[in-house]
Amino acid sequence: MLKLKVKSILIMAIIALSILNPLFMSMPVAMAADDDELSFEMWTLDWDTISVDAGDVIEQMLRDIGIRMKAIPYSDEVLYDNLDLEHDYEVYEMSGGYDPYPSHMTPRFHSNEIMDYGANDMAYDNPAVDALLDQANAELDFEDRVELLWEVQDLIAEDLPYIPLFTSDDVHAIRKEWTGYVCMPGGIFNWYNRLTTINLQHEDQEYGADFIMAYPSFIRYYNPIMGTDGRSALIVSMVYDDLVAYDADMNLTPWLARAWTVSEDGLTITFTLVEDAKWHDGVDLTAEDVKFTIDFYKDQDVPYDTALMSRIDSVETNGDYTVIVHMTEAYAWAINDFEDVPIMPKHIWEGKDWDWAVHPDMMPIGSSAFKWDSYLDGEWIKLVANPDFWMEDKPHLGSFTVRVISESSARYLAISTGEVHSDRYELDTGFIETADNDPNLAPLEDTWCVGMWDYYINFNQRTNPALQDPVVKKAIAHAIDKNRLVEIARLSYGTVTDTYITPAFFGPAYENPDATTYEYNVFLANQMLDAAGYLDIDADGIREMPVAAPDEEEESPIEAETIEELQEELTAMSASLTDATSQITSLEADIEALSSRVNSSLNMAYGLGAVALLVAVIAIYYAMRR
Amino acid sequence: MGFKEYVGKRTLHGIITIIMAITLNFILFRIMPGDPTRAVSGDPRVDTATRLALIAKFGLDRPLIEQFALYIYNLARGELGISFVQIGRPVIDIILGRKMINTIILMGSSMFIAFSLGIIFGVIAAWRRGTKMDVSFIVISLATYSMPVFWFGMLLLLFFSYYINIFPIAGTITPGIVHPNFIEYTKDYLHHLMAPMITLGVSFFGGYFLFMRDTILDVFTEDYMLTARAKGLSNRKILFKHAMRNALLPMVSLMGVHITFLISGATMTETVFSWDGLGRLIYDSVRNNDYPVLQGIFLFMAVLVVVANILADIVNAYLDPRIKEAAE
Amino acid sequence: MTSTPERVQRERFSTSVRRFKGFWSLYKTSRIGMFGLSLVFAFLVVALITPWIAPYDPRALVGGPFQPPGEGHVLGTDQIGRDIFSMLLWGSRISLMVGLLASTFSVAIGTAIGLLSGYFRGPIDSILMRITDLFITLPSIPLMLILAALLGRSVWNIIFVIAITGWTSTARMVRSQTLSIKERPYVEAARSVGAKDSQIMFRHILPNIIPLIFANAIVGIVNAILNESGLSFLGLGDPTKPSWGLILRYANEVGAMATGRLWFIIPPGICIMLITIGFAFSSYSLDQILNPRLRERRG
Repeated sequence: MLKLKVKSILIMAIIALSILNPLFMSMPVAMAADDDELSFEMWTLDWDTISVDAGDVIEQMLRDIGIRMKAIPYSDEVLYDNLDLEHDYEVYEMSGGYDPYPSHMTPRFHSNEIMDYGANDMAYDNPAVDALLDQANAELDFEDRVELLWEVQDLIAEDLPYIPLFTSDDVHAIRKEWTGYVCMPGGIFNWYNRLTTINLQHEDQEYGADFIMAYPSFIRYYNPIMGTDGRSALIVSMVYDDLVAYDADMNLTPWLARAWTVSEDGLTITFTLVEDAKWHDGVDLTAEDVKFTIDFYKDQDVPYDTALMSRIDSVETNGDYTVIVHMTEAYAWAINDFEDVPIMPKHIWEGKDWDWAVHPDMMPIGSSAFKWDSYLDGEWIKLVANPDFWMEDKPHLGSFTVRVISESSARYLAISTGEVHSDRYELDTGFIETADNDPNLAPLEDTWCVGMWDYYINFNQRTNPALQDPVVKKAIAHAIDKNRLVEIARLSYGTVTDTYITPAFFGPAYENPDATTYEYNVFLANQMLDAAGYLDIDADGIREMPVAAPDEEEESPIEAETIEELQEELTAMSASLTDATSQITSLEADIEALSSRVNSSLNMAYGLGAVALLVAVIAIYYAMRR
Repeated sequence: MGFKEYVGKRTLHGIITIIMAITLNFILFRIMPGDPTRAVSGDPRVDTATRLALIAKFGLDRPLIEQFALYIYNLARGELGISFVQIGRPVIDIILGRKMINTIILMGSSMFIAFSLGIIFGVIAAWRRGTKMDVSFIVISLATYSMPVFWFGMLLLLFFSYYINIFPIAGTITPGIVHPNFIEYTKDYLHHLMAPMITLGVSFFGGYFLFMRDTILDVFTEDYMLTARAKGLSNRKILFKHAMRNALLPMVSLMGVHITFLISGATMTETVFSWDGLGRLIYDSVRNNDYPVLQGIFLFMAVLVVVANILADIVNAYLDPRIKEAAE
Repeated sequence: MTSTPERVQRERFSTSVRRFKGFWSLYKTSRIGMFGLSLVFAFLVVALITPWIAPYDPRALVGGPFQPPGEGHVLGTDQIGRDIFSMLLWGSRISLMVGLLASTFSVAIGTAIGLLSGYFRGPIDSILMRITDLFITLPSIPLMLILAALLGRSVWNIIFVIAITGWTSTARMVRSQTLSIKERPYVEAARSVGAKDSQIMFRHILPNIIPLIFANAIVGIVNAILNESGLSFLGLGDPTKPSWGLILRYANEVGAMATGRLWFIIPPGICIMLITIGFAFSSYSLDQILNPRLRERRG
């Protein structure tokens, strides 16, 4: 009888062991804190497949140099929340987005922008860079400005607060029966590409056609000031006018202001407005509205367009159609920044807060080519052509409907079958091949434009000390094969960016052949990390932080009188320091090795423990059946 | 016990359950890691003035007991806080609106399909017990029950929206179109409802089918069936008059339990088909950490399920002659 | 109690073996059950030998993106070049582990609650039953979503969350069984001889409901696997583990359906389906055996 019982228990134990053990082995039990090693969490944007894919590829590439970069996708609410307000991420990888001119340099790198909702979310603080940026912003001469910006780029490239990766090309899926769209860097559909929305037309119907565009999710804000995200901004740009706009070559062109002059010293800008502009409710648009808008921004300290507004001293009107802006200092990008300010109706916004929810039955009143017709919150928005638009014979469309289709496949299929006509954003990587062969769509080379979404890896300078060490960041830069990254994550429909101002987007004038760049060289990366003391002590494939040298700051042991004696003393000291350091390093290494062995055997113990527990339970059960 | 007493007791149980759900809701969102006020007002997206107003309204600076009392008081007034994502919108508006209607219609129609399929196939299978038909029905129902709901939806989309364009791809209605009258609107809506409804209904009919079949087979072996046969009734008559009626009763209370499964399935289905309902709202709110909306939905669902269960049990009790007779 | 002589022990043991053999021979006659069981074993075996048969590291980039099934990649590659076949193999471990562990935990919780509730009755019963009611009415996926969001994304959280929401049916079943067994004569006899409550619960009641608990556990595995893949599909699973639901999520995100990349969509779904069918068929047959009325109707 004993034999039977033992046999059955043995059989069960073997089964349990063999099932549970390997399953447990595959589960990495939480090891000691990853603060001691080069292990980071890299946040990616979950609805942006390029961000997620690039993140995964980078994670694999960095394994080659012993750095663990865990790519974890998060929703944009959580991500932006952290970037804007909580500031405790470690690394993130996603795209920032360019404006038509290199306006991103100041917000991203100037230390003044380290604040809530500021664009310098990595807390990069370099006074030399600050000074150069301030200079560049006041430099009215274009070429001089470019030179200054090149200097800034090289300085930043030494610190590498973020590593530029690539811009994704904007290939759009649009049904072939539509024409009139204009390709500009940034894509055919973009908030500063006003030419497309007013010229878009059906090939068989020059006026009055109904265009339907698919959106991945609903717009974030109905409020024109806050609607700066891609989804909201397109609608804002169709409903509200700005003083100026861009043409197909990214040059400034008149819009609501049919002409403007800038004084020699840059302190006075005079805009002359078009005279037949009306608000959608019939009221005339005059210089009063422009003055009101600028005053509104300034009086309420609106946290948008601050670069421009903080440099404006006062605004006055001269008659109904002339606006005179007095600046506090010369600002190189003044007119460009005005392209970003939606002119708002005084008779509606007077007395309101800038973050007025404008929701939901309040049809936003603007002055531009399209006006709000109807909407269904969360599902669609319909704009109709403004028959009183101040530009002759524009727009060509009769209506513009935005429809939310959250699934990317559904969006693509909707375009292919004609349920919608295009997408707000460029084609997802997975669909490019199919779209190329789809007879219903316009050929991809017609819709191909340089993209505005620049992807980069951003290192938070606040959280992890390893991320403040330029050696680590440079090694990472050397370890990423950007060409391969673009090949895999974007199927080659992307342009590698090596500098902070991309000539491919901003124009060949910005091309600097001597710029500091980091070429793909894994060997060099490994060497750099080795030399700096980041060694993989416990042989788990991840480098550990270097052991710090003991502090000698209590009292200065230097007793030398002359420079030579000082040098000798320092040499002697550093020699003994190095000895002490290496002794400590090897000691620490031993401890590390031991503790890691304990950890991995902890793993083993965990698994075996569970098995033992199971066996014990079964044994007790049988025992109690007696 | 009598029918009225049963109703009373059942309702009391339901009320207790709802109270517990409310309490659980309160506790769950207050014990989360980090700042306990996060769930109501502590999110950075809320501006200062609104945050202060919320702190006052929900008493977030007072001890937990007072908070709980205020919470109940606000609940009674329909005040559930404001959403973090759709800034400024009261949670109660977001929930009690189109989304709720869309989800209820989806769930109701799917349940109807699952129920009908379950009854029809269950009866046939029980009738032809042991035959190939029976076995194949069992296999089919187990197989569809085992399919992940979202995958089934994806397959439907693949075959009936991509390859053959029968069903629309997403949404509740074709957008931007102003329908001339209510009939057109309904037709469009139903057209969009088809695919999600089929997905959800087919995925769940397995449970009903097996239950129906088992119950009918059970009934066939009851003593009173022998009596019926002795009386000379044909098998068919037995089936319809006695078996089905008796089998339908427990099915009703099963429906009550199944509502929870339906809600889970609806969440996935709505995500796959972009059906603008509470399920998708849950998913979006979870992704975006929109805690006030989550709390609101949680409560709403708990109340919905409890009420549905109570109704199902009461109907069951009303129809079940055994309980009725016990009253007399 | 004094220890019973060896002869009695031997008899008791061989009785349980005979009972087990009885179950087994009944079970063997059910084709559905055997088919299910063989599926389960197949997956178990595959999960165990995965480290030896998986051609590639599931997280490594080993091919070009979106490669259809062909040389080197039996089932092609995903959007950035990971081998799908390897991901499927490693994913079987996740599904099995989550399924088994979550079900075990939920059955344990349910049994404990059901047993205590049914045995002691009175106020304990009322409280526990109200709690059970509460958890029954809470829809599992939304609750799981909320808990997953609060607790973070790791496999253990998923297991915990599934266990927490799945114990109610076991609790109810155990309670009703306990209620009926409690009234049986031998339990009365035991109590009259002065047996302690725990002894009665563990030696008399529990052994009789083990088969039913086991059946419940199998059903629990079905739900656990489906829930886990659902949570992963919605993006709340552990992003570092190649669960089948996660593969389907990728497939959905990159439009594998719209672009005809069937090798991405169909295999993971079929895997989930097969493993679930395996357990579902087994549980169906078990149910048939254990339900006494159905058993009497044999023939």
